[in-house]
Amino acid sequence: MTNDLLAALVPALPLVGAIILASLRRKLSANVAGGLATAMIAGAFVCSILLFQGFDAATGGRTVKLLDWISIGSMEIPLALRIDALSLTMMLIVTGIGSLIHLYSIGYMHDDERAPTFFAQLNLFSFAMLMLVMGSNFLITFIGWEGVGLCSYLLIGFWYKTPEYNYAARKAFVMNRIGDVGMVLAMVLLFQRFGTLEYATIMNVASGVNDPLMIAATLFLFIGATGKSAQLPLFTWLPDAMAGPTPVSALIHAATMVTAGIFLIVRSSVLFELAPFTQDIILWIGTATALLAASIGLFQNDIKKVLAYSTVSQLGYMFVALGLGSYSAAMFHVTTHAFFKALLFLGAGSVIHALGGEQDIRKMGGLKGHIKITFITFFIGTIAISGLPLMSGFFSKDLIMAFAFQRSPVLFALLLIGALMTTFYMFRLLFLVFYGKYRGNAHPHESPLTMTIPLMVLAVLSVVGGLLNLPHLFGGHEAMKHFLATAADGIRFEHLELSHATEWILMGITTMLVCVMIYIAYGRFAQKATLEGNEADMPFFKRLIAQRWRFDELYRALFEKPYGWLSTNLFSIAEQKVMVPIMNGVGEAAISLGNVVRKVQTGNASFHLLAMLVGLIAFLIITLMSN
Amino acid sequence: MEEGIITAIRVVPLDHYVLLSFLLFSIGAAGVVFRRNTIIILMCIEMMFNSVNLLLAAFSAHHSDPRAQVFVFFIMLVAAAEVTVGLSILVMMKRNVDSVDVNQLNRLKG
Amino acid sequence: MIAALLLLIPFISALVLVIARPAQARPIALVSSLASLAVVLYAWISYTGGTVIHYDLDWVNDWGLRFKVGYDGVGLLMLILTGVVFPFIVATGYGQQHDRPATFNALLLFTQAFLYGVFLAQNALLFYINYELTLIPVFFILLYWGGENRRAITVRFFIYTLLGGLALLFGIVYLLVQNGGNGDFTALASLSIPASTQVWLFWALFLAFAIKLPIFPFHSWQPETYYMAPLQGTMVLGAVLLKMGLYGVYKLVFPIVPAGVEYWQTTVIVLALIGAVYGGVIAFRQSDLKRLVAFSSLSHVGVLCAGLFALNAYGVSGSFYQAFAHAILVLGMFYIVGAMQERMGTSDMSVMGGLKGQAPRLAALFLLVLINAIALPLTQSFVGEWLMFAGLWQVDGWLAFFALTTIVIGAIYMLYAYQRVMLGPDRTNVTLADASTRDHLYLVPLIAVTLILGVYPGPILELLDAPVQQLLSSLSVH
Repeated sequence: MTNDLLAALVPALPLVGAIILASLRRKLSANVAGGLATAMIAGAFVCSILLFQGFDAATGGRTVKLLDWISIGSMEIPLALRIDALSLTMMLIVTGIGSLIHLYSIGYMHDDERAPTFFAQLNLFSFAMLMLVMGSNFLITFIGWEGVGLCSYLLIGFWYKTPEYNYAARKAFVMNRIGDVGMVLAMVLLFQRFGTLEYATIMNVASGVNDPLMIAATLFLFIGATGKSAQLPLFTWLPDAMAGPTPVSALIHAATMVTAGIFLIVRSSVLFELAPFTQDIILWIGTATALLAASIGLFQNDIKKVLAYSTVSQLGYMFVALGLGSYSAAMFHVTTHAFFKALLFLGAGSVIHALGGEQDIRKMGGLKGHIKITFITFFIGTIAISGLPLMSGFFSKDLIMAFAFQRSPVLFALLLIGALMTTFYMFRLLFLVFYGKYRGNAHPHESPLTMTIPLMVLAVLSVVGGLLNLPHLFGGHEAMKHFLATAADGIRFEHLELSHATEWILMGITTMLVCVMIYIAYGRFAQKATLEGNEADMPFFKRLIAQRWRFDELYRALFEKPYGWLSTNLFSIAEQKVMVPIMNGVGEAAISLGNVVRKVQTGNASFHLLAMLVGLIAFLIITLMSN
Repeated sequence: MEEGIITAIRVVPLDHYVLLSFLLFSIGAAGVVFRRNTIIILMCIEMMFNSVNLLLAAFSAHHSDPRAQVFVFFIMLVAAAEVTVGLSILVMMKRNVDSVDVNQLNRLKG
Repeated sequence: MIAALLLLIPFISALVLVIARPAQARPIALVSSLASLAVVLYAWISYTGGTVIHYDLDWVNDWGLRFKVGYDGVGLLMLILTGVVFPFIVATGYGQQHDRPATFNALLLFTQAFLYGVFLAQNALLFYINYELTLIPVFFILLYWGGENRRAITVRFFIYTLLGGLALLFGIVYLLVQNGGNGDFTALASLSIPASTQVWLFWALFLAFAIKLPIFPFHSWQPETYYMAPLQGTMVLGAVLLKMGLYGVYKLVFPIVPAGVEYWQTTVIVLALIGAVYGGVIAFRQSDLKRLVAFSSLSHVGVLCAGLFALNAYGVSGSFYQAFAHAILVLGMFYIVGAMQERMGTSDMSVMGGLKGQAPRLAALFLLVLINAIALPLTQSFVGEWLMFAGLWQVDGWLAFFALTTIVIGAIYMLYAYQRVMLGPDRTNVTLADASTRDHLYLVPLIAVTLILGVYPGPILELLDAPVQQLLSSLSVH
């Protein structure tokens, strides 16, 4: 019972926080609002920890029913929460990292007059994200799914006076919505097939079912996941989403919301195991996204954009893991990525804060002396994402690479290229920002403690995060995998059967090449700061990559412009030139008919009386005749 | 009704009454339709009423059924009311269009 | 008693209003509409299921007209909707400057009385009479209080809807003749009409409702009329009048010509969905907020009608649930339009932009209304749309897919409209008042209803469950 209450409290606390903050947003100061918001999410974190401690993985999981939601006919969809290994993992990530980012935001948003609104939205986001991961059925997850979309929209467009930001916000929401179409289709299909949307029931019934419908269902789910997790072809919103305040980028667009797609697939892993076709598609989409985004990252000059493309790329890795059927590896990477990417974003925020809003890395440089804590933590984040040995990213990425090698060496090679590009652009970023001479004209200053404490905590996590799922190779026993296996049945199908020698060799190759990349990057960017010039002067191929493979332009030409054209012309031609005249025609036909018949109404009283008389006589005759 | 009057009515055959009231009614109807003076139209309507009354009274006497005579009184009453309304319309008409020609009232022309 | 009160309260109040002083008009109308809301809520509380018949009196029996009034769950939902919506519509008047407010409010209350008549009627002819009677007060509202070009548009609207009514009358008369002059719905439902007849009879009965809803391609009267109508008139049209079409289909089409429905089902769904997409796409580039909302309503109604014709438990109940949600949405949306008109003197969005800076509360309220429009989960619309999508999927996956495109299309035009009005740099040069207490008093209850029924739709779904099941099982017998 107490556990049920705790479970309900986890999403309820941030929701209450959001409501209080939203209603008192004009009366609270930034610090009070931030404190309250942080307290709420930290409270949720404490509840999550308590739940985690009281959780017995052997039981598999528990459903906490709050109330009946939609129940009609044979449709029973309760508002219920599911507490199992998977949701607990996600809850801990969301509330834990969420607390740190809330804390960080107190410092970051200190001067913003709309800070209380910001915190209200941040809390609302946490609520939605928690609903997403805790839902006991697809529809509850969908509440969170759409809720985080809304909050993402609000927070990207938080500084609403800039039209580009609003455009980015709308773009994010609409692209997510396109994915949601897939998600809803999947839900109606699954409901039709299984008569319920409860995860537990569906996954129980589904295992062993051989049904071509599963391919459709999983493909639809995957479409939903591509929208939320910014995969090809729906990835272009995520880099634009960097318009939001940096803590938002860290929380929503790196650590939590964008991993919702991965969560969803792990949640329904049983279904995906039944549809190898879908798994292949996921695998190749993930690979393509990982490489494409990493290549774009090489030439970006906006500190947040580099990190954004890096996020897209890392999400690609997670999808590769899902495509390979190694769900625990994906979840492991979700976790470590949450640590180091949140760290990197918050570090970037700290840099931006230090430079008074500057985001262009060409105007940075030499900052390591000015903002030491930020530098050290950012450095840790960089080596973690690059996968230097014993860092958290090393273990998680390596696990995915090992699975990839098991499938095919080509895949391994592709992922390795991606990893090397990651290393290159991350160290390029690091060197251009912190090494060399300062190229801007602001006065860098270290951020306040509320901002640096989260950085330090996350730095520690980025280093030791690998211990969560330490492989046998290093004397661990894959704790996270075994824990998650109690909840996501798909994990039972994972088999990594490489010999230890092969693993050692793969690791060695990867590490060596990564070090080579770092050395090259050091030479180019730390020693002499090679800055990219004007895009127009670049050779064609390089320019194409620097212009993000021109995806935005492509989509604009393919969808946005035609849609606008269609909207204008449907109205001016179809509606006004066709539909309205047809309707007017009906009216005019009635009027002209009236014009004919009205002649009878002469207005002459005698005539009417005569007509009446004739009529009467006619009726009389008819009556008499018929008798 | 007194016995004597009834006998007196019965002296004339029913056909004659019918014929007479038919003639009266037709004259009234023709007047209503063809005359333009509203006063005459009202009088013609009155004539039509009375032709019907006559017929009712005659049938009543011939069939020894007093119910028809009740109707006669009703009709007289309604006719009185009708004349009141009709004449007031007439007065308004005279005031407004300064004429009693019924063809002046052709605002309903479609 | 309930039926009598529902019919008499608005009717008598309307008569009182005719002799009332202008200053008393709105308070009287408001009290009257609140009183009838109380009656409706009482009816809801005391409702225990089944079809409740309040009166079954002889009227003109020879023609099949009986004064038979009552309701089942669906009818009750429609009564609740009418009861809830009218206090809001009357209250909107407090922000408007009207010529002759007494007459105006009297016409509103007459409309309400006839609407109750429509939703209470258990006799086809009684239904028809009330259905057509609603047109008369609305006609005068549009004609005397409408905007630019009102004469032509009103007459067009009137003729067009009347034309549908004519077909309906023909259909009803045909049914009466077939049924030996018994016009009760229950009697008509047990009539067995040959399938070939049902195929054409379907359109005789459905045309009026197709125009009233409206579905594509009978919709052209709607955007112009909504645009031209006075704010409260638009609310009446959008929030309740079109729901008569939905209810009419449920009451008069489904049970009586099931074979005809089966024959035309796909056609109607496709037409409705074309309208849904068509309206939504057009809405995107509209420069006038009021017209945009009109087209968005067209889009929503398309989905509504498609869901209804899915003709399964989820589709039909989802459609009626959504009908309620849509009414609340229409009130909120048009109230916002009115609030903008009041402040800017126009509903043209090209002169707006960046208003959030001056009116943050109004922007927040707009956003909260808007999330219902785009059917975010935990709002009322989501429950309805989810059920309709589930229902449409059972008919055909592609239909569900096309219905679902509207959630993308809706997000596109709604967020774009929000941006054009509220976001960006402040482009206006007027000083703007933020949302007043009156605005809050009006919108906050609407938003509360939206959210409460989004989280806890049970009470209303309960109303729908039994009658819809009953309808469907009676259809499967045929």
